Amino acid sequence: MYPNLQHTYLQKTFKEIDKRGICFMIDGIVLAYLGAALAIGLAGSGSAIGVGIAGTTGTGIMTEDPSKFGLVLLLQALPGTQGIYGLLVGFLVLTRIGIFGGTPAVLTVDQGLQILFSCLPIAIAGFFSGIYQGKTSAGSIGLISRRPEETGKAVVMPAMVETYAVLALLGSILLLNGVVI
Amino acid sequence: MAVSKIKKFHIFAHLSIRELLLKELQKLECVEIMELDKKTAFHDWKNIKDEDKESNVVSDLNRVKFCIDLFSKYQVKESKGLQSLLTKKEIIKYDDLVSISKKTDYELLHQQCKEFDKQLNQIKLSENKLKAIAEELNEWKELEIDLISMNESKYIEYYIGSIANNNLEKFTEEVIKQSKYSEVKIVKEGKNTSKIIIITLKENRDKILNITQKYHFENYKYTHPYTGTPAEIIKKINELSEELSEKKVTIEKQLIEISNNNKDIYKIYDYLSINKEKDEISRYLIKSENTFVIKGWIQEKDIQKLKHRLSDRFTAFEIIFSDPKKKDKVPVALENHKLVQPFEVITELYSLPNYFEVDPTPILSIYYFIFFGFCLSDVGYGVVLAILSYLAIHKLSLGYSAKKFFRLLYYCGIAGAIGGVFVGSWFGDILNYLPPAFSWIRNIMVDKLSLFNPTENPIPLLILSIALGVIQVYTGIILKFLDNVKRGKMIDGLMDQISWLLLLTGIILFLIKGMLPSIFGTIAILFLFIGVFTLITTQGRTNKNIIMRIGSGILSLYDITSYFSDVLSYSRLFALSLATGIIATMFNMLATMANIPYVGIIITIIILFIGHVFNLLISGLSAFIHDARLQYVEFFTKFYQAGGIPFKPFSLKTTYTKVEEIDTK
Repeated sequence: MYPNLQHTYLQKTFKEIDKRGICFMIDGIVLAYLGAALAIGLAGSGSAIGVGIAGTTGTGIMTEDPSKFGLVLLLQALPGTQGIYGLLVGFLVLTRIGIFGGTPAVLTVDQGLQILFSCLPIAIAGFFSGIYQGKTSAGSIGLISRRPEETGKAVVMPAMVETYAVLALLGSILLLNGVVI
Repeated sequence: MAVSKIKKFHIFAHLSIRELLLKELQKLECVEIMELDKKTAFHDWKNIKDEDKESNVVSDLNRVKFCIDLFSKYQVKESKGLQSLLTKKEIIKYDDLVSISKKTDYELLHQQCKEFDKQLNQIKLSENKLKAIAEELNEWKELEIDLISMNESKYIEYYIGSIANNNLEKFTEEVIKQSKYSEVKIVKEGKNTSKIIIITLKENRDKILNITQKYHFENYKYTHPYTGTPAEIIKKINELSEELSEKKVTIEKQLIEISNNNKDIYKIYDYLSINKEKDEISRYLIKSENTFVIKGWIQEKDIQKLKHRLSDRFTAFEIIFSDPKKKDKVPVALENHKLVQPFEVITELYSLPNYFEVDPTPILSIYYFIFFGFCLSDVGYGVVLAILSYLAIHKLSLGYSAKKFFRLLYYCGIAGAIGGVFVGSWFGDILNYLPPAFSWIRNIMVDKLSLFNPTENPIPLLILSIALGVIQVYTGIILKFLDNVKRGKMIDGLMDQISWLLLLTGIILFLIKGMLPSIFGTIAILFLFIGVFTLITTQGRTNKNIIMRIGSGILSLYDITSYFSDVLSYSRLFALSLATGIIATMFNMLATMANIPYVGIIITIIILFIGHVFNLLISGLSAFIHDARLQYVEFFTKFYQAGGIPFKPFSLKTTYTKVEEIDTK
């Protein structure tokens, strides 16, 4: 099995050299994988950092008033959406390249790069907006601890940051939709 | 159907009916009493002060609270958490509440509770003490000498204590060498230090002390009153602790019995809180020698009710109503149709409208409903949300505002379900997994009913979301224009709002002119020019200098970008709609991957359940927040002034019961 695989791989590489005059040692599908991995991993990391920042503030507040648990949890969960958006884009990529169907599509390097770049908006914006939304959430948690009547405003503030994660998600989806496979 | 009309009232009445009148007002629950500025109208009037009485109520309340807290600590936990939400509050008549409170001696109860609390604290204290001694002696369990009597010997002296293992040998040698008839015995060998006992003659004391200091021998001194060997003492202590805990159990039992016999304590607490509220309000009143004045706000619809009630009961009073003035800080109560009412929650979260502007809730409710449906957009989630909120409304005992919130969620659930039909999302794509015999269900539900297929072709849905944004932004601008007209600032409205409307319409027509008959292209250009011209000439009208005027007019065109970003912001509707569907699809796919025989079906069900609950929570939360944000940031900023203070009627505020007021005529 192994030599056989090497054989087809070499063949493919030679074909590539014929076509372009240079040898790409990578396959299109690898790039698509990289895109999905970045989307899921970076956006998830941003969310994790954000949720962590909000969480540490939240636990501090709850030592004084444990009854705020529900609200604090809500605010802590807000920076968590970036990770979900990232996973969503990663999932879309995987369905596009037919991983779940069992027979992955054969992608050219061009197509692979297109998919990789489609993933970048949510990967980058997800990472940074997750962190900053976490900071805003932490601030909001401080706000509700002192002025519980301002809960509405406290919840809307972090959502302002999330706007850009949503827009990045939108960008990623639209770009991905444009890739012809 | 908007901000409720509010009137100011003054009640002048004879001092003798003060208490009764206040009680009547409190039972009516429809007036807000405010502080009277005594300097303005009534020169020689004084504030009413009964500090003694008030502090009495407060201390009584604290005593009752003390009993309730104590009971709740030891009561069988039957009414905690969800359970307490499920049990509805007892409804009680006001007069019954008064009579119950009169006949129950809560002073005595408080004394009893205090005594029990004291005893329980003492028991806890001694338990802790015993535990500490037992722990201390546990290390000397192997020593078989009576700890008290060992120091009563005439000639022999014992030293017990611990020493580091590496010093032990030298120490023993030195003790035996320097002092006659001495012995060192190891009681318990430890890892680093060992417990030892030194037996020696009294005359050797100085020498021994020197040696012990040299080798860092830590002497252990037993200072507690119990006699016997350590093992015996530990046994004794255990017996004592058992006795104590038995005592504790009997006291707790007694407490539970008392708390069961005194269920009325909760009613008394409520009664006292009502009285406290009333006494606090008394401070707002001012009096002359024989009369007093109450000033406050009342909703216009309640005026007749108030008049009737007061004239039924009292004669020695006079009531005057007047319209609020512009400079008054009038409290605001919203009054909307039953369908619109739940959406007041959204308005209140931002801020109430001020008294002199229009309540945005009715218009907001339509947009909020549509947008939420757009964001959640799944039939399954929508139906689940609606059913859960319906159950919450009817099965849980909720306060007024919580009920309102769940009614909002109920509507949101319906909106989500409708949105789901449009995009053909039923728990994502779960209908695809139906056995072939039932695939006709899928054909009808998804292929026939749905208007969009965002995963295949996202652009139409994206355009729809932006179009909704344009409509809402237009609505905001038009509302501001109408507000200007209402205030008699027609010209301002024309220059500020209508010129923008023309310009924006021009831009939109220009952008989509390819799809329209060619005449619209001309209209677009016309609108653009009129819009730009009026904006440049009018937006700088506060400047006196003509060049500055035109300059700031041109600068104002820069606001186009903010309108542009406002409208683009609505694309989130599309993104969130898509997200719900895709995450649901993802979980469906994950669930079907569990292809293990027999166990597989269980795993599939578990994954489906957890996944969809998670998605419902996350998507519901996103929909709620982003929908609210669109209203606040994109819609309200166009016209809404806000800043209203909520109308808080003087009422019967209770914690444990619900007081029902009956008309006893």
